Amino acid sequence: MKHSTTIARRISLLVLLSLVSAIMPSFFAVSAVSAARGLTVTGVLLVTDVKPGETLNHKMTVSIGDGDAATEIGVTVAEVGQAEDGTYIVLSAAEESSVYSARSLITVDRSSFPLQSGQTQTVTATAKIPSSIGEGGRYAIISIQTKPVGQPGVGIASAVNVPVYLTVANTNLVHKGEITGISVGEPSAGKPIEVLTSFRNMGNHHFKVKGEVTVSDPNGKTLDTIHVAPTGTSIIPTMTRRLNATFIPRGVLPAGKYSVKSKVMLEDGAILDEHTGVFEIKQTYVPPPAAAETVLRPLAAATLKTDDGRISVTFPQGAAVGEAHLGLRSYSRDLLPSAPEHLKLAATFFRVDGLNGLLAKQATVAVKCSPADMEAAEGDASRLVLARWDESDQRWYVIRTAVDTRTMALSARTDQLGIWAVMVKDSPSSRVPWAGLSVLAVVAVVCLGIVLFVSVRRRKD
Amino acid sequence: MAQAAPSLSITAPSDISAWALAPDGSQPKTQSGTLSVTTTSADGKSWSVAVSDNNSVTNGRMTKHDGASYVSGTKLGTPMQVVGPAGTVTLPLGGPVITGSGNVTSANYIITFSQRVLWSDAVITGPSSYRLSVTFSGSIQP
Repeated sequence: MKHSTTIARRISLLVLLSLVSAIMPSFFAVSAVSAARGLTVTGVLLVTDVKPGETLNHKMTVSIGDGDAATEIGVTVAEVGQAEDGTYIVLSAAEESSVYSARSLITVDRSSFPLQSGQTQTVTATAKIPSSIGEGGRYAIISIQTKPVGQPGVGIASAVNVPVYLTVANTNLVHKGEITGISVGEPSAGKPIEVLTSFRNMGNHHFKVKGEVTVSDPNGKTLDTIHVAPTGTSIIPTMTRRLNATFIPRGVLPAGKYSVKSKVMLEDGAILDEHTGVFEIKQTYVPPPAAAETVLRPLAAATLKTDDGRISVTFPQGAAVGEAHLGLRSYSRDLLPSAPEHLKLAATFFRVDGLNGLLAKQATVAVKCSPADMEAAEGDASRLVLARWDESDQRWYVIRTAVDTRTMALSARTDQLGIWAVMVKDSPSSRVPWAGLSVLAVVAVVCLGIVLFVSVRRRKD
Repeated sequence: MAQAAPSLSITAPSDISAWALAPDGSQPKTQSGTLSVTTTSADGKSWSVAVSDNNSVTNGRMTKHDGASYVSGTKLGTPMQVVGPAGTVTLPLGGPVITGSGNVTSANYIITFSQRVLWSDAVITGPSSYRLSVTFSGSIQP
């Protein structure tokens, strides 16, 4: 009986250790911290919810490297604006104050101080939130700057801007806006056509947006739908952001009036505004040359291959029912729809033009991974897959992909072309192993039951 | 577990103290340097380094300096441009010259200062000189 109790305890201990070791990595993962070089500031984001009447403190440390000359540091709190590309603009005190400004709410405990080589100093910003603060967000920027060296020529100063985004908790956050303009670059033979959409945040809180641009010919037939990836940065209230879409027509465009419909959406797809514009092509437009071209005929096999051999599409004899002129072009990451769950975009994206609908026989798409693809996959080529964007279904299809880890090559068979992307699957360690944990939990419960049972029996004996 | 405070470190290019600015020869005149960026705990966030001239007297143009202060009436005829991986910007407003996302460690980028010198620009001699202060501002964006 004693022996069976010991075994049961050991099993329980092993199960518990297994559970702990399965969970431990997520607790002990830490951010890598590198040695300070140049101007270094920690606490470079002040993004938080606040309550009316509250006072909060935010600490930042400021340091320069061991090899850097001593300097004078200036610290200022300013109203923040954004250029149309999202860059922060530090507004001067003389400029008119926005109702969404947090500048007057924030003070810093030191506005300037000397900083010696290798030294670290702390700056504390204090935000006093009035009880009548109102709703939505309040914004400012704390600028920490070195003094430029005064000498003939070009003096250089380094600065770190700390964005301040305060959201008044439990208030009505309004995310709305309007398209203030659509402009289309002058169509020029051999060059992509740029479509710019200006969107203004008319709400009381910051948010990110994504876009969709549909280009139609003079007869109303859709030529292309271009996706504009979510903005990397939020648009703060009253600011305008420019969304860039690049239209690369799949073929020659005759002269005429073409239409552009632009939609701006929240990240979850909720439409904020849509607008239609018109642009004119005065002379027959020829698109930029493709990276690879070939003619596909029904009675012959064909290969579409880039000059560097990195990307190829091989068509067997009989793949097409009619003659088709095919082109392969690289595609901008910024114009791709977001990757599906558990996947992220790597670095190789391309579009095959000239074929609509299904192939009669499957073609083979082959891609040699670039260093950037491998970097995205953290060096593990087995995590890479090929995916195809389906314009009709408006979704990504992940294609069964063969991976040759020796040559770093991916290949997949498909009966449809269009937009392709190399994607990276989540690393196994980044997913919670619920199935494994469930089994372990059941085993643990059973073992504990055995221990209890044995203990009870032992007392009775 | 409390999340580490995000940090940003930038090392701007060195000052340019010896730059032969003359209207002859190829234009524009250029000088290059390296800008280094390190970010930590910036997972998934965008960051950028923008360049600007924040001095309303110089306003993006190299301006005569007599050793004590700027002489605002004497400036080069064209504003300075700065070239980085994200594009070419013109001072004083400038704009982003480097953009990125996530964490980077001592990532180096080539920055080029580009200045066109015209025959109509005033020749100045010592102790006065043309000067300009350029600010490289880094930020991590929510």
